[in-house]
Amino acid sequence: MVLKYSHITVITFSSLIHAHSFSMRCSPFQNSNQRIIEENVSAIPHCNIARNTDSMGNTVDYGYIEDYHDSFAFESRGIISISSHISKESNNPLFFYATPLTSPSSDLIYLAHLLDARAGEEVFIRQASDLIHKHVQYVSGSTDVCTSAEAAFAQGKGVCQDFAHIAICLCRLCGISARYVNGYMLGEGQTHAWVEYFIPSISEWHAYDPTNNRVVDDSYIKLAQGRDYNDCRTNHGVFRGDVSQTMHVRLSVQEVLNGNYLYSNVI
Amino acid sequence: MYSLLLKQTDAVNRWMERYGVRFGIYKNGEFKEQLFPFDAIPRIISHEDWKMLEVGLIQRVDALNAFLRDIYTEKRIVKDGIVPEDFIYSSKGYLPQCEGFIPPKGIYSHISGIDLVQAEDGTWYILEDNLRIPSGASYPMIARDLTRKVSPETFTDSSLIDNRNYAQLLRDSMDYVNVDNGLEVILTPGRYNSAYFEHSYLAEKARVVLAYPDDLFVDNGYVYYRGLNNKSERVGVIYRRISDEYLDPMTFEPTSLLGVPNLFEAYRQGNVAIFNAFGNGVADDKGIYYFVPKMIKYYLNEEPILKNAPTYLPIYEEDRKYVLDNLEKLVLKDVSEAGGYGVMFGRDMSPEKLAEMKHLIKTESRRWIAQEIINFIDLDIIDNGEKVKRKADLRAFVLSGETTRVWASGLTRFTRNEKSFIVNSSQGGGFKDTWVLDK
Amino acid sequence: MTYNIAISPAKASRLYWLGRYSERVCSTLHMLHKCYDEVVDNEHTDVHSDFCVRMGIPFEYDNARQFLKNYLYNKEKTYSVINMLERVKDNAILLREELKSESLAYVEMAINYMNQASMDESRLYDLQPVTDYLFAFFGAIEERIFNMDALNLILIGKYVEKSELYIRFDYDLARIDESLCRLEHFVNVEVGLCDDRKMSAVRNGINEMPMSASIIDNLNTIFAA
Repeated sequence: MVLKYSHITVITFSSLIHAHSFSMRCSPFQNSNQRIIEENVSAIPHCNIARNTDSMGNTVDYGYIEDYHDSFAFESRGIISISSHISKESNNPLFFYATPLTSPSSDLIYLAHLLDARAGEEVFIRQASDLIHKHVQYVSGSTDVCTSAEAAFAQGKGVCQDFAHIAICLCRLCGISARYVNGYMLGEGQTHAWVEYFIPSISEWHAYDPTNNRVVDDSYIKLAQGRDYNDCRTNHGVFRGDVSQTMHVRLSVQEVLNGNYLYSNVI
Repeated sequence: MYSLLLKQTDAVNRWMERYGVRFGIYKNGEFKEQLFPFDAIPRIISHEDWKMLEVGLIQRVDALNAFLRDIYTEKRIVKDGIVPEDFIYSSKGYLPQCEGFIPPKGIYSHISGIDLVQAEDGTWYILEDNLRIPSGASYPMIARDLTRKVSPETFTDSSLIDNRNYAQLLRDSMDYVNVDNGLEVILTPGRYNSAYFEHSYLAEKARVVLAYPDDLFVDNGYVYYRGLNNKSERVGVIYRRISDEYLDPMTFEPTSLLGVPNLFEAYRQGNVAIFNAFGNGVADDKGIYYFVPKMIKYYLNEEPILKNAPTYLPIYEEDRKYVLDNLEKLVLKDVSEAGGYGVMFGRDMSPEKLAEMKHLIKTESRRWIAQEIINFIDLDIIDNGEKVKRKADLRAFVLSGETTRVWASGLTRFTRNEKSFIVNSSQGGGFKDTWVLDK
Repeated sequence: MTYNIAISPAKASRLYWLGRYSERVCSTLHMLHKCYDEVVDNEHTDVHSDFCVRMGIPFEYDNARQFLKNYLYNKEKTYSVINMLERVKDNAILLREELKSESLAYVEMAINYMNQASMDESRLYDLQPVTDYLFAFFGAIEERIFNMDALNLILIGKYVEKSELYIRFDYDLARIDESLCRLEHFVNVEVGLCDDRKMSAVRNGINEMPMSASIIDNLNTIFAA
């Protein structure tokens, strides 16, 4: 599927700030499944944007604004052709060890006992996802970026990030390497999160969306992967100034038909 | 050899005060600066011993550097079953952010502080490796300067190696990894760090800029020193005295005010050398210590020249059984603690404590290592005008650059307290000059 | 061997304030000597009230002796000499690599001497070594600082301070002008860091009678990092 995306993050500060460093992970992940047709990032106030690839393979756009300003906008936009979310890639033990956000509670360990990994990883992930849905309800705003799998599970409420963390926790408990993926989804107005898990018999990573309880298809754009949310933070900033801040995100992901790749100017 | 010098002990200490030779400590939440007491009786290392130590230390540091490179790239040593996988991935010092990156010139540990003790039979044992920010070189540097000043006669016909080249060794190593011939800086967290004296003294002697976190910033992938009149200078190498977790709030501890935002990204792009590299904690973990002799064989195909203290890892069943049966005569170390903390002697434990520790060894076996207690040679010190014996260790400084070199000196620290076995400046104690004989 | 010449704004500010505080200690001790010369003749003189007014500090003691003791040694008072010396040290200790250990030692010695004097409640006369150490410090830094910008910044601080005290204590115009003249020399060298229009305003302003208060404001903001 060919998708056109535009992701605008606007942060407004209550008064002037300066010496502002930022780091964004909202450009598409670079692999053979995602063919980038056009792609661009920009920031206001204007500044140099440097690009790097982190240890997880994610694209990081980062920069520095010395002068005083009271708002910051960052846009990532482009057109990308998605083939699938199955990648032929070896296992990495890094995705097997628990992190603070994915470490199990005794309840989660009990839940893992109800699952059977011998049925195969693909069956396992569906069962795990079904089971999560029995215990956890999707309630937007019910958790924040610091909420662990354990805490979300205990309160029985969560958002996509929590569904992903719990699924990762269950996979790892049952001996399956799993990683967190952050991305865009056709028709969704905010970033989404799902999981990828490793199938040793064919040496492939497959993707599953526990929030929507479905296999991830070519209507998803992968941005970043990691051990948990912390490796994939879409934006992060440090500045000088004692202020309060509000953030607005505008995300649009549309299918491009008939090779019509023209943009409308959004920023 | 040093009898004349002994008469000048007070003079040396007066000069130390004059030069503000101090280290800071926090007591009850308050920052205090203390003089680091100097004892004039030097530790003397014979020429033969030094030759052996020098070769052994170079071998050890070369293996540790090879290990770090392997761990952050191919992990052959794990795949070949020498080091268990979880010793890497569950080590606090392992930084996944460093995966797949090789620092400038492939050097991870530019300055290694290797702690040794000498047993009563004369054998030297490695106590621990410090590959993150080993401190202490400034004290013997200044001590030699001052002792030569107050007692020149002592040095006129003695056959000891001149150790006043540390700043040059440091500078050589910094020059070697400097990216694009940029500015060379020592990055200090500031005056209220316990080793601030050392940071400023090394900057003075090596003639590099002493930078505070606010002096540096990252723009367009490069690190700059904020100059006057908006003229900023590109930085090529940062000898940082701030630990990994506080060094970049964008990648590590987000609340850190001591860091330079996006420094890690500039580093990963190869645009600046960080001295010592990020992520070295995986190699000086108290648990990894056990594997260093195996690393020497694995990477260098050589027999280890320097011995580890006999060490047991409770994760191995055989070792666990031995530790549980013999805890009373062993020293137990918590691998997650540093600076002499988390070290417990079995013989000092009450029966209840012994039982508690045995339980912990069974339930959290990865957390502990146990070692045989080595009866190390006590050194003479002058205490209230009398010669007495005290425990002492030696921190040797190994600098890696174009070649690996050992500074012909070191920091000899001793305990003030007669009963104490833990030699660490953060827990009181003084220091001595270390004389290495050249014949 | 290359010399690193970069100076960050924070470092520039430390150099400037090092110059100001060290000169303030020296000049203050000198002014005190002059004032207290009068006490020799008249025990009950209110010379200290005049001193406080000129210094711009609160006048809060009954007699000259009580004032002097507190002014020299009271660590609770930001304006005390012992505290100003601490400020010298605060700045100097952060500049070791620029000043060099041998120069910094004079600051250490001045502080150590002052602390001992405070415990002994030494007389003003006995504080001469503090002045001596600071003069030795000024000599030592001229010898040992290779980065001329760094040295100039200290000297700008020094001569701003000296000029301000000369103005406050109604020195002869010729003396004030001498001090300003030396300041102007460094201001012209470090023109990017200093405001040369303010410098001219100060030099012209001292000829007006009475001198306007803005002279001191201008003097204090010639260096703006």
